[in-house]
Amino acid sequence: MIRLIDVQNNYLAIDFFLTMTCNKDCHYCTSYTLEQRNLTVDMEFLNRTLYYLRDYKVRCNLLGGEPGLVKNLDEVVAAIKSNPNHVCEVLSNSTVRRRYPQILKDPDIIYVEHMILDFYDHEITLLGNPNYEYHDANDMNNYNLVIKTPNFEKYKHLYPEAMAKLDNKNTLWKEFNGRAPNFGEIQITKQAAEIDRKMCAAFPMVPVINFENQNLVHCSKKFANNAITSKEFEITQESIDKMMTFKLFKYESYCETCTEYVQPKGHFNIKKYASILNE
Amino acid sequence: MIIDTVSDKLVVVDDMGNMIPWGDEAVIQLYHSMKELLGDINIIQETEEVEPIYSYIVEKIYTMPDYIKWNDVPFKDEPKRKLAIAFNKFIYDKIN
Repeated sequence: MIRLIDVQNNYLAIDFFLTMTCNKDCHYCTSYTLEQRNLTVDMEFLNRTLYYLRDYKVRCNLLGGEPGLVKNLDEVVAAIKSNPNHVCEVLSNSTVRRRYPQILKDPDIIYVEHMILDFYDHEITLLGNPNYEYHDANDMNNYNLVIKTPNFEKYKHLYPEAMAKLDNKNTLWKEFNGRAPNFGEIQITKQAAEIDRKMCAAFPMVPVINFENQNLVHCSKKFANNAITSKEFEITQESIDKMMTFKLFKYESYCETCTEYVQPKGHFNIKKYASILNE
Repeated sequence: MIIDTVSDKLVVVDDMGNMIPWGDEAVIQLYHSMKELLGDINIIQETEEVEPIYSYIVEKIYTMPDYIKWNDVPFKDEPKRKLAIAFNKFIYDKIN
């Protein structure tokens, strides 16, 4: 069975934006449309992309949009799992739990559920089915994801019971990363140091493969906020090789103003750079 | 000017051959951190270019010396060589 910590330390993550279609409209997300489109993944494109990535340790994050709406998600997951260098991760608002429950039963798939929309003074607003419980501590690689929104910081003390349920090894706490259009007004973290933004430019936390346009962009933040000016790359063996060896993306003017959160220890830890540059 | 080491201390040798101990504590710290990471380093003025990621790692260690403490995976020879080049470029840029 895979261990999340091993994957975090030794694999580079790539977001696979399978479809932009979502059944929710989170106030801090701009990477979605309510229009029903691209709900069947082009397997020729997927297989070609996975072939280009075949020699690299990659954590393939399936998201969108909402991956649970994809009609051939099982086929997509099977294609990713067929290469031992690749780890499959699925990020869902709980639609996957309803439509593809088998994914939660497979410990070789990292299932991350983003079920909480936000915290308010009178309730915790859920994205997913209100009858679903948060994931308890488990060894099935099923995780809760909680975004530390400004409201989370403000109201979490009102919900000791929920916080106690979430307080286990299978909850991932994510900093509010500011993709909301009015993020500048509500920013709660400082801009990262220039050197951290340079390192992020060389390889972001997660570059994006956009299955709708079948191309590659540096990061979901550029994809969401700057899609017109952000450089897009064709998916080729050359561009994949360059990306995976830190040679494709450059520090550009957009990075100068980027406010993406970077952990205090740095973008990636040095151990991860050593692992990748030693390959 | 060139940079050298005397008794494991960084010195700058000016055009007259005078050896001046390097006074920038952050650079001295970086030198010791890089030695810890790479072993002995030959200080020379480099002409070879390396990928920006190596320079970024050196700059990160310069701004956060503790960064190397989180490494329990030793760099192999080729990345080590490139990090040494990036380090030499970094310190020569500092004196120029």
